[in-house]
Amino acid sequence: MKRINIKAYIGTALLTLSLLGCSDILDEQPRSIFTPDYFKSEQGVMGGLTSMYAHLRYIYGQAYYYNSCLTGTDEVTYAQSADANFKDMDLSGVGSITPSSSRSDALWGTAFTNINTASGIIENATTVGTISNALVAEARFFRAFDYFLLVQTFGGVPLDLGAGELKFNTSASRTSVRNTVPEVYTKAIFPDLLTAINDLPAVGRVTGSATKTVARLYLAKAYLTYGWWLENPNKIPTYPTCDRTDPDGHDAKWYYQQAYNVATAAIADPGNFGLLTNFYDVNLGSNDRNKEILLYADHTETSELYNGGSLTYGSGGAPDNFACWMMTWNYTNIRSAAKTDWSSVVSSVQREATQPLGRPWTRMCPTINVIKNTFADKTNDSRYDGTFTTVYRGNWNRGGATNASLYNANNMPVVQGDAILTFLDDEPATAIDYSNSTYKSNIGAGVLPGRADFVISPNGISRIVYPGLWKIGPYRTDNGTTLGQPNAASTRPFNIAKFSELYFIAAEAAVKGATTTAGQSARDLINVIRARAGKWRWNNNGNAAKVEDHSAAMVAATPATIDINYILAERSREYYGEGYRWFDLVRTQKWAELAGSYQICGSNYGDHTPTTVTRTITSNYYLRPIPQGQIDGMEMSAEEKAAYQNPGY
Amino acid sequence: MNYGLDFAFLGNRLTGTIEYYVQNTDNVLLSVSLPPTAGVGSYMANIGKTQNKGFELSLNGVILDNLNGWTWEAGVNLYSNKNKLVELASGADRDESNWWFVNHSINCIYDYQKIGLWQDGDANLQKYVPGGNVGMIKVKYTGDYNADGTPTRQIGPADRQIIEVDPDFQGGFNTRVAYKDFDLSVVGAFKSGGVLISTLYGSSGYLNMLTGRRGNVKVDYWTPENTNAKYPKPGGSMDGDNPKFGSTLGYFDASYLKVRTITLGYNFKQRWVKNAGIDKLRLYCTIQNPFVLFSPYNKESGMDPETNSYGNENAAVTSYNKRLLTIGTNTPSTRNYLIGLNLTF
Repeated sequence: MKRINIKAYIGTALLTLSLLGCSDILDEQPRSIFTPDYFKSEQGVMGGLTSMYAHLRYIYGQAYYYNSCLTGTDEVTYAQSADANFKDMDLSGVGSITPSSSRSDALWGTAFTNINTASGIIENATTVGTISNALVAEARFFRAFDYFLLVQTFGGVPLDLGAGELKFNTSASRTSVRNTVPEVYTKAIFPDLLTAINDLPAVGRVTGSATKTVARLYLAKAYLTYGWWLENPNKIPTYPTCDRTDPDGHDAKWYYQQAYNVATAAIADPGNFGLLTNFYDVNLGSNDRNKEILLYADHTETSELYNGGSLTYGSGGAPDNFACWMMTWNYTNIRSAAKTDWSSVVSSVQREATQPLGRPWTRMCPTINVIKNTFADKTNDSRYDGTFTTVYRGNWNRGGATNASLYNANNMPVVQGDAILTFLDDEPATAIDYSNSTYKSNIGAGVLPGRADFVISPNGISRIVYPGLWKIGPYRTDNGTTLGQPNAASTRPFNIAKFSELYFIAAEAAVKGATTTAGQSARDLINVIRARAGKWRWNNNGNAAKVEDHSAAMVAATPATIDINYILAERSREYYGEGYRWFDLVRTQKWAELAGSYQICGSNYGDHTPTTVTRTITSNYYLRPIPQGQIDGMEMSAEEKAAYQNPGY
Repeated sequence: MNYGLDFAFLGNRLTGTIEYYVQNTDNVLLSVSLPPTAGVGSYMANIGKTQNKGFELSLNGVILDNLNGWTWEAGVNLYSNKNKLVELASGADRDESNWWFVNHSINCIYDYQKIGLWQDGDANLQKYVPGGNVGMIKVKYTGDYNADGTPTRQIGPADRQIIEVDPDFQGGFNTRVAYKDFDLSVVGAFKSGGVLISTLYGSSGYLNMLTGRRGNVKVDYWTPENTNAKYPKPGGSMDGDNPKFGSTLGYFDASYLKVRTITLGYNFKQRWVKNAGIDKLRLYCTIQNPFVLFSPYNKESGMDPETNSYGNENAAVTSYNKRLLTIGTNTPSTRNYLIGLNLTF
């Protein structure tokens, strides 16, 4: 008996020890991971808010997503080095958009995590008790922002991530049910933005944070887009299938009016935002984060940690801002001669981290129609000059070549800073000699009598040599006297929303029948933008100051009656290459009409014969495919998965 | 369940073991990736039940035991393991995003299966692969056909195949022959069947892009004059800067027989050794990794057929789960020649 007692004592003692031990071990304080409880602290809510801004970098500046918003529209086609990521989007018989090839996956894969974080902040703010409504409104803005992007891209998307509609989900949900388009607008986007407008400050709590003005811009745009969806003039199908009736009982006209009202209210009450005097300054690298920019995905050249990517060599993935590489052709192949017999040549325009140049990937290019039609006026309208790099200037000394001067076209001498290659504004009276027999440009560029620079006319623009996109080119302050770090991704912010768009939204709503207020007709609003475009202070083409005011000529050229096609053309002049175009053409259902064919020369150096390419844009393409990763990741039957996918994919 | 038998014959000159086992694991804890709509990327969970079954056999024998100065010993072992996912915790029979399929090994690839290259005159290329070109990779199509013989859809995710990577069997061997003061020993290993993933040849290494002049692996590629090539036409249909379906180029037959070391030694036992105050003196030379036989991967690349990386390592982009082993841009095994002297005083 005694032995048993001793055993019992020892057993009890051991058990007690182990229990004590356990209570220590289970007192978990995770430091390397975040648990949902973290969101219930003030620090957690602030961290979540910061991630709202960081998440923009996985969408904006991500070059493949950027491509999905432009390639296949009337702004952009694929360039010589394009792979399927770009060719598939062109819809011109060189590929096909599929659930596994569509690059809208960048949006799908980023938005829901952010929406969930936003829902967590909105739910937990009350629990914490010290979070102001203005901060919660930032989360509401971004939840609406993401849902608006999703609904335009994919049609109806799920509001319930696993915990109920618009609830913070912490369960491992492997099923999903898509809501309809009107549900997404009326349950998520509109209520969130209305609250956001009410609670957000007119002036952001920090530079670049969400404001009343940016929330108004998105609400106006969402009203406008939903109005178009209700009207559905070209009978484009929606998915999941539903009636085009508004659960809130309004019609398309009501929403156009609301879009007009909200946009004009934002113009009247701009906070510290407004239009700049010159279009050139809006996109000038040294002038980033200016008062016209309402929202941007930010980067910095001062810290790799905060930049989100290397400051010396970008590897081509988010969160880097590498969109600008895509429309940059390989200008570094241009050659000028050290001797007049061209037996010794020098790379005269080298890879440099400046706004006209940057890292060349040759994946996307403008069509000839963009240069000739969209930007037909290159003298009054400063926007062609403020959008494209049309002159490539010598920089060989900064690259280490010591030649004081080089021989270029016609064996005329050029010095560093001179024009080496020029894309002409118009077809010249004299035929261009593209032979490259004596003056070997190495890129198939031509020669005109009496000119030292090689030239290419608008009809000679090809998939391999074309005007670069100056607008979003890199800008660094640490180049010194060298070429800088051209292989890093851009350290500039990627602009997402601009004050000027309020004018376009109000004008479009007016064209769609909104009753206008005095002095703010569609024509009046568009003329504000056009008059500004006529004011020059700098000429990129000539690399020199050019203080001229062509506003009167710009306004005089505005048609008496503004229609949708004119607004779309004007939007393209203002926002060319910024990723707006696919959304604009889908909203207005003008994609097939305006982008059905284009002209471009081929993919080889020296090809200057324009060919007309036809695109096949059927109505199912107005919705992008649900990414294959989502389909694979759901645990549902094959039939349910097929029903989850948009029709035609 | 585990059955084993140890045996010895001929006065312990032949010994061996045979073992057969079936191991069932009920709670397999792994990271599960979720669809984006969950709003959460992944979580750790019990994913289901697995079963491992297999046999192990080893034989060691002394064939000659100091017969006229000759001694010969040899050993061989052979083993085979069959892994099977018995069921998924969710009750589903497949999880396409995590590459888990009931009744298949947990070590499998879910990808297209290369069956050749598209050749001039092959019918309906544009129907199978819109925008495709002659000379590009041809993968298996599993869909239906229209009455006129054209496919009802283009090649897509539904055509992906479950490709198991586990070998049929593998093992090792060693032998030692001694004559008087000389001895020679050889150690080797072998594997039969299974799939070897080389990210150097597939698309995740960015080393077999077939797009231009850069430091890439040397391959036999398609040209109009060389239509029997294994690799596609350079500059053809691209996907992510690699040939379309380029991941299929990284799959090889994993079989090999490899001699790991050969050692030849001589023990000096002459009188002068003792006189010099040396207890033992041995001179030997060893070759490590002298040769590989029966390896399609080695035959083509000249490289070692043993894996050197986890699936998520040593490639330009991550394409595989960590649980799959690959050959990536890691230090390869080297062939070493050693000459050594052992001295004991």
